[in-house]
Amino acid sequence: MLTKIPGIYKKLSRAQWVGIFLAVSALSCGLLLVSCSAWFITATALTGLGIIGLQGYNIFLPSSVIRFLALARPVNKYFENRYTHRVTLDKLSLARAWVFDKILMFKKAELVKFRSSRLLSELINDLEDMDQLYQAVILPWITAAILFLLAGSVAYFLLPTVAVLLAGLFSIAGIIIPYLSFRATTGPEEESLLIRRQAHIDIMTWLRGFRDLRQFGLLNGNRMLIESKLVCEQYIRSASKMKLAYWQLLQQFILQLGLIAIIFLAEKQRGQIEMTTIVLIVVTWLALAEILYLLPAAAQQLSRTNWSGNSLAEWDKTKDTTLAENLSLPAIYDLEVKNVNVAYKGRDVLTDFNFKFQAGLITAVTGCNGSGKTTLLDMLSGLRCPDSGIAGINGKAAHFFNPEQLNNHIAYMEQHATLFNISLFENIALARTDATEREVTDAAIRAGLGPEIRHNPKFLDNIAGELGKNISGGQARMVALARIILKDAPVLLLDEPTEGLDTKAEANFMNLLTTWKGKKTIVMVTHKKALVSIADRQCHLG
Amino acid sequence: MSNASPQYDKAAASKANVLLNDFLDPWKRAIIGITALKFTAFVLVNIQLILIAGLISGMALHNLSIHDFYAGLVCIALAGAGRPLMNYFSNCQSAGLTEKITVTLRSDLFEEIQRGYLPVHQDKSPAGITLGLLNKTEVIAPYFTRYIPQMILCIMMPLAVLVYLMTINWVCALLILVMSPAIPIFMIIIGRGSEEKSREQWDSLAQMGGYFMDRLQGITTLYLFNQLGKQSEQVKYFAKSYGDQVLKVLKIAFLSSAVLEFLSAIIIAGCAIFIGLNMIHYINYGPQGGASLRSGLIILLLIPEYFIAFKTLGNYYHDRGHALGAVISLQEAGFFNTIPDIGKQAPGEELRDKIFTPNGKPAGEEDIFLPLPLIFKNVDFAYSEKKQLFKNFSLVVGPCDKVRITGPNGSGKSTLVALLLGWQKPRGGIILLGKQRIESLSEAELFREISVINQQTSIFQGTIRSNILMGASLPDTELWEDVIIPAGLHMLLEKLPMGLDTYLAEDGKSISGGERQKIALARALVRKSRIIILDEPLTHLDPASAENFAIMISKVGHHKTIVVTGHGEAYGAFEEYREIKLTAYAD
Repeated sequence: MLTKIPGIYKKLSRAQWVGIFLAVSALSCGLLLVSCSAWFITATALTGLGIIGLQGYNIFLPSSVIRFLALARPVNKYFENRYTHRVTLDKLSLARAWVFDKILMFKKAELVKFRSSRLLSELINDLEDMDQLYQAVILPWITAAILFLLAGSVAYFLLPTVAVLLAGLFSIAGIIIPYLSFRATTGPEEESLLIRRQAHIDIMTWLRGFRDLRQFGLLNGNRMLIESKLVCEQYIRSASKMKLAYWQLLQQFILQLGLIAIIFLAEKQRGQIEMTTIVLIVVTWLALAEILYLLPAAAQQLSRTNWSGNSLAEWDKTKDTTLAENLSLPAIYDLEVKNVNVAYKGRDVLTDFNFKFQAGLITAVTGCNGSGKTTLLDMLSGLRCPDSGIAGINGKAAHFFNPEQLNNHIAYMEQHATLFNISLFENIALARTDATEREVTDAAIRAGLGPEIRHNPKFLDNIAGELGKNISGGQARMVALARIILKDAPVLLLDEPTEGLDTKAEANFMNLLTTWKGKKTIVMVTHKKALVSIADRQCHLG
Repeated sequence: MSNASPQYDKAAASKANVLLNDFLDPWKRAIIGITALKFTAFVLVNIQLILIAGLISGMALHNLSIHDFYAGLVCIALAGAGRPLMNYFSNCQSAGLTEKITVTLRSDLFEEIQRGYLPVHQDKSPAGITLGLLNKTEVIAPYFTRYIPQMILCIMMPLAVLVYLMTINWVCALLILVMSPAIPIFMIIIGRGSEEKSREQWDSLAQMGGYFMDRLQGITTLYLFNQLGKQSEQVKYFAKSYGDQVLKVLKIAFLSSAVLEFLSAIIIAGCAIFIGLNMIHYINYGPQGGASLRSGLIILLLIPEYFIAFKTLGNYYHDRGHALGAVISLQEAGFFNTIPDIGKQAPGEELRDKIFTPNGKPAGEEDIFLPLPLIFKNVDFAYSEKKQLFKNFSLVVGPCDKVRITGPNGSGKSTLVALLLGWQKPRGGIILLGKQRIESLSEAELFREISVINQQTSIFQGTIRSNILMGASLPDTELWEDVIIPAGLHMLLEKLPMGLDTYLAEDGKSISGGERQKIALARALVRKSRIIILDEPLTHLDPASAENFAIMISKVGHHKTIVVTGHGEAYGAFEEYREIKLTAYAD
């Protein structure tokens, strides 16, 4: 059941065991407090009535134990809370870092798949579900098991039949019923998560196509479809909750039966054991049952985490590929694609394609949409492998070279300028972390952000916002360009560098290109006639 | 790399609170039902405990006949059976109510998005809205189904226990009462202090997700600049500091629940010792009957029940924080700022749907008439006070006029289109379609006349035919003659073995930008609109496709008004159109 969950969640760390220990001790403090008090009241009452003589018992010892427990319980509870939350939060950060470590081990040629936002939100949802695993599932269950074990062994000395009864009740109410509710809720949880993912895509499509749908009066119709999916999702979830409620009902019935059985057993044994023990057992049982009530809900949570864990498990299979890619770059090289074939979703994009991008020249790549221009740059930078053939350097595929060295030599300006939610300055500076403030600002000005900086000298301190939402598309492009300028690599791959720029910024870029001409190897995807005319060579696709 | 945490101010919180209270109204009865069921379960538990105490004390004192024992056992079993049943009913009720609330909220939000989502507002990203629609609406329901019932129970349950204990042993009840003022303080801590704190926690939770997402979506960029290796360390660091922040918030909650635990433990211990010492006559104080074994056990078993409501509330207190946080962030995104009428559809909406059902005939019966003129008269428009976009702007586009609107980035080309379609309201002046003001026309009437082709045409999951027809119906022969050939789509369709029935995947990745725009043109032709507005239609096209597309437009545009916006060399094909140059106002 849990076998497919990724390794980092599987094994309990020492800290997690300590958390469980604290939980057990907090709960047993509570249990002992109530049972000791009950025992104390019974013993004193029987003494008062002369049924037993308390001379064997010291009144002050139990009462001080009670007072001690009254103090220990809240303190214990407080530390348990703090500790288990700390452990959960540590695990959370560990899991995030784990994902990044796995990404580091990825074949670099697989990184392009992260350009899909759907994959990302699924990954994040999965991780958030898994964060709950310890506190909502493992902790309550193991704690309950340990407490039952403790109570059972104590009961064994007092009244062996009660120990057997406890074992039986725990296996039914603590194991079988939680397992059955796990089974019952797994299907619906999966189903609702799947529908939710579908609805997620649908809503995105609906919003993207908002204008067109509106024009054709289809907004309502499509909305109804999505809403009906969402209604389904909610319906399934509430049905799953009702199933859970059903198992809880059954469990509580069984636990009530257990109570009756215990009282009945106690009555049968009345002659043999002391009355105080009987009170002790009944009161302890009442408190123990409360702990079991929580388990079916934990099982439901488990069915959710289990699903997320399974989809995260794929990450565990990631093999370390970093060693395979370690060729050193030659001193002088041409970029080259040889007999390359690439297909995308069943459509041939490049077939048996050959081209040599000579060192020191500007090559303009042109062609219609979908003819494979971006794919070509991805391959040259090592972000993607061709289906067959070789794309790379001096006849060797790009992904064979040491990626760090390769990235130092090649600066790739991707089609979509990706901005991080940090200041524009930091966004530019990540291209070369040792750059001075002056160098970064210069790069920004050369990239065409001069007017903005003159207008507002603090412009580069602006935070870019999620996905760069605080600045315009043109400015985002200029930031991406500034990164390339700052990096100052000998090879530049530029994917539609002037898209979205206005005429002035475009002219600025042309100047920049002329200063680079003859000094750098440049491969540039573009539609603009003016840019093609600056290029030394042209490579037409499609 | 640090992110500033946004602080919610009190005004936003109270506004969100008002909204939550308004939402409460339609669910009132269901919530009271859940509360009543839970209270009944609680009463049954207490009755059972009292019965158990009686039975055990009877057993211990040997003054119980076998008949009484079995009768007592049956009563315990009955009370014991009632509690699970009550719990079951209340669980089912609250599951159903959660479902209902979430569905309603989502539907309302959808409604608002549909009314207010103006594509001109580029800052409203589809991803953010989608998440809002799915996740944020979901955390609101527990506030109604768990938090509010628990709030009510917090008054009823302790009161019931206290009243009963009063009748048994007034000293113990007094002890509880003396200790109780700490409880309101506890409630205030929970209510005020941690409300803000839990919102902060919600914030930092969102921040954590945001940070992680932010880095993941730019992973190729990080890799290309050799920054990937550092990220795993940074993620660890950020998550750690996030953890510290969250723990700081939670500490208050832990502390307040520890105080509660402490009170309950002290009262249990105090009562137990008091009763015990009373029974061996070590002290002699309090009611005579109150110092029996039965009453002692009852008191002992009922004291935890006195506190249980507060403890459960402590578990649910974050529900309120989450709900408030979700409402605030939705309100900040521009939703739920007016109280929606739950379950009521605006009367106009229904009518509009009737006129404009997807299967209704495409409006175009008055084909022989000329297109209506478009008139802008002294239009003023500004997005903000500082940045005036149009001042006294006038423009007349006559029937069958061919107009090209040019100007640098930010000069208002797209805004002009938005004004024309009524998606933005001018601050002054009027915009007319024929003799009627734009704002007096319904969307259906407007789009009967006007078709818009945007920068990037959306493709929907389905066949090419359904993507062209968009809900209209037209026989294939007519479709080919009047639409496909004029729009230049026949070249594409002849290449495809399935022709019009070719299935396009979501987002239409399998067709090129040029083909997309031709599909958009075909959609306009299906509807026989007499005015076609092209808002930067060539942006995503390569030169060859752009030229081809421009020629198509000119071909089909003989008896139509055409308005094109856009700048750059690609728009050279529209050279002979009348040029309207917009200039950007300086700010």
